[in-house]
Amino acid sequence: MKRLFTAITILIGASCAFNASAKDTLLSLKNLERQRASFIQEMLSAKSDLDTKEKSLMQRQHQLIDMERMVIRDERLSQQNDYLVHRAFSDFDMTFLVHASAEEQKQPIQHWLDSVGFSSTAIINAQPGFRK
Amino acid sequence: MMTKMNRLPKAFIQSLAISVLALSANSVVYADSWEPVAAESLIELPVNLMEKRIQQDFNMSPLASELNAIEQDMATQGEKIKSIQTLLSDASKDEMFDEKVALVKLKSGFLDAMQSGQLLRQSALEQKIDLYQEVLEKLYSQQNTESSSATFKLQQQQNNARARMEKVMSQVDAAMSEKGFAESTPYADEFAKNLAKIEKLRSAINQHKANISPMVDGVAVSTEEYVRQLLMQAASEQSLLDQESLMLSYMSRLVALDAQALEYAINVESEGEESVLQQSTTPANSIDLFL
Repeated sequence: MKRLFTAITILIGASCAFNASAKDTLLSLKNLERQRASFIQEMLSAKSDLDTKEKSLMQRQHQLIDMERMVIRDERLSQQNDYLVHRAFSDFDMTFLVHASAEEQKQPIQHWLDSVGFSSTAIINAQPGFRK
Repeated sequence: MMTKMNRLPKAFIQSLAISVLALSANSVVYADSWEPVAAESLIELPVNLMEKRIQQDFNMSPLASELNAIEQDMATQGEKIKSIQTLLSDASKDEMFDEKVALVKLKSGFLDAMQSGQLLRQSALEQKIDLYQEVLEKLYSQQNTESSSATFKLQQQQNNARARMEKVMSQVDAAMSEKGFAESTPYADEFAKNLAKIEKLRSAINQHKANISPMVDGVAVSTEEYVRQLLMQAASEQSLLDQESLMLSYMSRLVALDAQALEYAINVESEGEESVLQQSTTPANSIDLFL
């Protein structure tokens, strides 16, 4: 009987160790960061036409939704005392762009531009030249 | 049966009286043979199992075996005392001195055993109190460390993020389906399927008897509260043990008085026949020598 308990304890310990020894515990967050960077890059890109850009942005937004949810639900992240994780959770508006924009009843693009301080007036008033 | 006690040494009875009187200040020291430790494995147990585990550990200790042996010894001696008391119930004051001495001796032995048992119980209780205090301190320290750690803050931030996400989830999904993304992704599908199963598992864990919240008077309480209650219970047991020691000291005093009375009775009996009052030599009764 004692052997059985020992085996069960080892089994539980092994399953915990398996979870803890996942190669990269920050993978979900890193994926989200990459995907969001790509989304913003696409958004700021002037290369493609408007229709193609909109379709591509919607596609990326759809993927972002899943990734944001994965990160928020990933309990391994909060066990990591990592700067990336701290930075991500201390700024919900910028990290979880799609969900934060829904809270504000805005498009993610608009929400991001507002968060970084871009406005139509600021763009119109902008002048080419050296930073003052 | 009338017996003269010439063959019983007075010294024995005297030493019996002294040893019985000294019971209350017994200097016999028992090595603590149960030394429980508030190990991490104990603290991680559900609190109701923790209490059982401590009791189980005590039951397996040499101290518990010693206590059991003493209890058995006392039961045997108790039976003998009763049978001698029955025998002596009809005996007169000057009869059956052998049995009376045996009775005092048995009572003394019984008290010795009871005293030993009490010391062991006291020792076990002290160990238990120390253990509960250690557990409580560790729980507090664990709680403080957790609540001040960066990980705890991160967990709180993640929980807040989850709450904010759950508020707008349906809104986000509705917006996406309006834009032609009505089909959910494989991740969303699988997650939704697993969620129901996870909830079932979670509720099974919550309802598991090994994981049920500890109860005090039918009210669910926290682990700390439960350990505090155990400490209070141990303190009341200690107070009762103190009261029992007082009873024990009174019992030993009674046995000592019995022994002294018996010694006196034996002395009177043995010296009675021979005690011819010797006349002292005085001038008055020696006068004949000079006339």
